This record gives sequence, structure tokens and C-alpha cells, in this order.
Amino acid sequence: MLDWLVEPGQQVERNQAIVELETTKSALELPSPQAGKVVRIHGAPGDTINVGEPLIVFEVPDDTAGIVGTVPKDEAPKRRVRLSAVLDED
Amino acid sequence: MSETITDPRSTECSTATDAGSVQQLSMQQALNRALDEILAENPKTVIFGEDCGRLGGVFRITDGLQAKHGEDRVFDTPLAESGILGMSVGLAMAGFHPIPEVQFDGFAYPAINQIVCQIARMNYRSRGTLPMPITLRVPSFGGIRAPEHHGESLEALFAHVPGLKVVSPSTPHDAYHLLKYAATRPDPVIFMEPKSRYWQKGPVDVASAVPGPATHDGGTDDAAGLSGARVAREGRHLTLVAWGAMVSRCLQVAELAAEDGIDIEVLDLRWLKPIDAEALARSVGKTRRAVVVHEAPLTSGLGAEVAQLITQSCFATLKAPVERVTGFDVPYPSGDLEDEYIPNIDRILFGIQRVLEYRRG
Repeated sequence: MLDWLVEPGQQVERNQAIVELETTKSALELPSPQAGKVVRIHGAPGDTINVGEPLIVFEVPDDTAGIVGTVPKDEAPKRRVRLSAVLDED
Repeated sequence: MSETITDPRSTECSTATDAGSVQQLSMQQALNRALDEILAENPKTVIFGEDCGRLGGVFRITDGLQAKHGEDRVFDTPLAESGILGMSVGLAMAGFHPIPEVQFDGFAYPAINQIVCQIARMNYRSRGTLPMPITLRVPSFGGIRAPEHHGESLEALFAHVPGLKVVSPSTPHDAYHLLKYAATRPDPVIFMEPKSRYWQKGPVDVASAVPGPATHDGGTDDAAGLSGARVAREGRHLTLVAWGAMVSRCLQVAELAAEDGIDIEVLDLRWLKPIDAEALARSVGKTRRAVVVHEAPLTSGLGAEVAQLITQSCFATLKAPVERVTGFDVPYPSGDLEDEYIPNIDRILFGIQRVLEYRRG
């Protein structure tokens, strides 16, 4: 753990950098996997966070939790094209 | 379509009628319920994939299943699709019924080797001694404005591979029953879930279509009619053929066309391999005009296969060549360009108009 870039209570957007980490491979800024409010962060600069251990807890609305994308809205069908045809019934 | 996502295990979201057999469920909830019942009914079933276990899936399709059925039967895997599908082969060979999940359709590409070279061929290669009762769940198609590789239309790719069966539900009712049916098949089934319809609610009659007992000899037990296409709307003048998320769009188009005096039949193909050629012949034999609608690119898309089947059975009576309204011959775009790519109502209406205007030389 190098440094936290967010703090509890803060609202973050998806892909916003939330923490600087150093792994065995590289140092990186970890982007937020989702939008939401930060409830709790685990570890302070200098600490080691093992794979599988909690890093950060978000509070997110139920209807967007975990989804990569957005929930489609139910919209009335719109048209610009009108059909015209002479139909023979043979 | 509802924007509200409720806990699939909640009973509050269900409106029980008809002695409890019909419930209002989203497709997400219907799939969750089907998986829950499959796990309860078949102790050899195992469900796994990225985030399938503790999280319950990014779309919550496997929500609550690990807590209920245990970590040995519903579990998380590393982010390695080839490993997920390779493990499925081994489990199937050991007598299990794997239901793996590829988290998004674009992530099926890294597992194509396992799907095509192993899963699809193992029964053939072993002269029938190693069936592969694998149901691969793939959240499919576009419509949720996701990044690249999170929306793809891979049905033609899968359907072209001998040994695979491919199905895509369009309603919560079909999602529930087709998944339960697919899970009883001795052959590998690619189950393409239209992710943009996960939140759509509809009546699910859990008692109306109950597949027969599982068979492992390839024989049919389809007393409930789950192996073929479905007429989603009756009509006289033209047949729209679609599957997955495009079915609901075609139903909208049919409503609009009715305002113009055109009576459209909508055929929900459901099974993309094998295709229900008899249902195509029945429908287009009646309407004598057809438009195929799909999200995949035009060239070598499944629309071409459907058009050929129609031509083969209805050539003498067709009033116009079979029209296709499809995505474009470009990579499936990321969210911002989806509306330009996926067939919209006007493009489908134009396709219908081209067929209606056609006159023989």
C-alpha cells in the first residue's frame, strides 16, 4: 500500500483512481471498479494487503451494483418511417 | 422494462397467481430460480465462473446460490476463461454437469480453443462414450452501453461448430424453462442470455412447460415443446424472424406496422443450432414474406442461414427475396455507438418496406 487517494464518505466515479499500490510486478493506480460512496478502506500506507483480502467497501445502489454498463431504460418506441403497401391477397 | 433490480430470492417481487404457478419475474430472477432448482434437482451440477460465487455474478444471476448450495458446487474461478472451459471438460468427463459462466460474451474468445477443439468434439472423438453435458451461460449481445468486448453477437460463430447446440431466450418465461431444459441435455449447449433484457419482467409459469426426464442417448423428451421456435405474435403479411433481445424490438415494430395496416408475424427462433426449419416453413409459408433481424454483422451472419432455409422450403411461394436487417460489418462497437449499430425500429421498418415494395421483373 503506497497511498489512498480517497477517503470514507467520499463519492467516487467508476474508473476514478482510488489507491496507489505496489505489487511484485509494478506500481499502479488502481481504478475504481464502480461508482459509489466509499464506506471503509482497509490498510494504510506501508501496509501489505494480500490477494483476496478486502481493500475497500463501497455503498452502491442495488440497481447498478457490479454491472459494467448501464441498465437500459424502458422507452416508448419511436418511429420516423411509415409503411405503405398494396397487398394482394392471392 | 423495469429499472428496478430486486433480490432474486425475494418473494416480494413475485405476484403469485393461478395457484402459485405464475409469477412476475425479471429474466435475471427467472434464471436465478432455474439455477437454484437445477442445483437442487441434480447433485452432479456445479456452477462456476468469475464472480459467480460470493458476489453472485455481475448480473446477479447466481446470487445466493453459493450460500444455499455450498462452495463446492457454486464457486469463483480465476480470470481465465480457457481455464473455466477446460475445467468444464474435465468435470464433464468425471460425470459432473458443469454450468460455467463466461462473464461477458467477448470473453468467450479466449476460450474458443476449449469450446471448439474439446467441448464440441469430445463426444464425437470418444465415439459416444464421453458426452459433454455442459451448459455454458454467456451474457450476450449489446444494449447496456458497455465497453468493447462486453457486448458481442457470437451466435454464428457458435452455431457453425458441429457438436454445439445454441439457444437464446427472449422472455423471462423462456429463460427459466430453456435453461432448465438445456441443463438436461447430453450435448454442450451455449446459452446466450440477452443481457439488455435481464431487467425485463414478465409472467413465468413454472408449471406450464416441464421438460421430461434427462436422457443421455440424444433422444428427444421434448413433450413441452422447448426444442423449437416460438410464434411470439401471429400475423398474415410478413414474418419477422429474430432471437434474443431483437424479439422484443420486432414485437414493437409489429405494433407500429399494424398502425399502417400491415399484419406482422414475429417468430422467435430460440434455438440457433439446430434451427427449427419446420417453424420457419410454417410461418413464411403462410405470410410469404420474411425479414430476418439480428445484431451480428451482415456477412456470414445467421440471417444468411435462416434466409436459405426459408428459400429452400418456400421458394415457389415467396413474394420477395428474404431481407436481412442486421448490425454492420464492423467490430461490435462500445456503448456510445451501440444505437447506431443495433437494428433500430426505423431500420427494421425500412427492411419491411423493401420486401413489401418488391415486384418480380
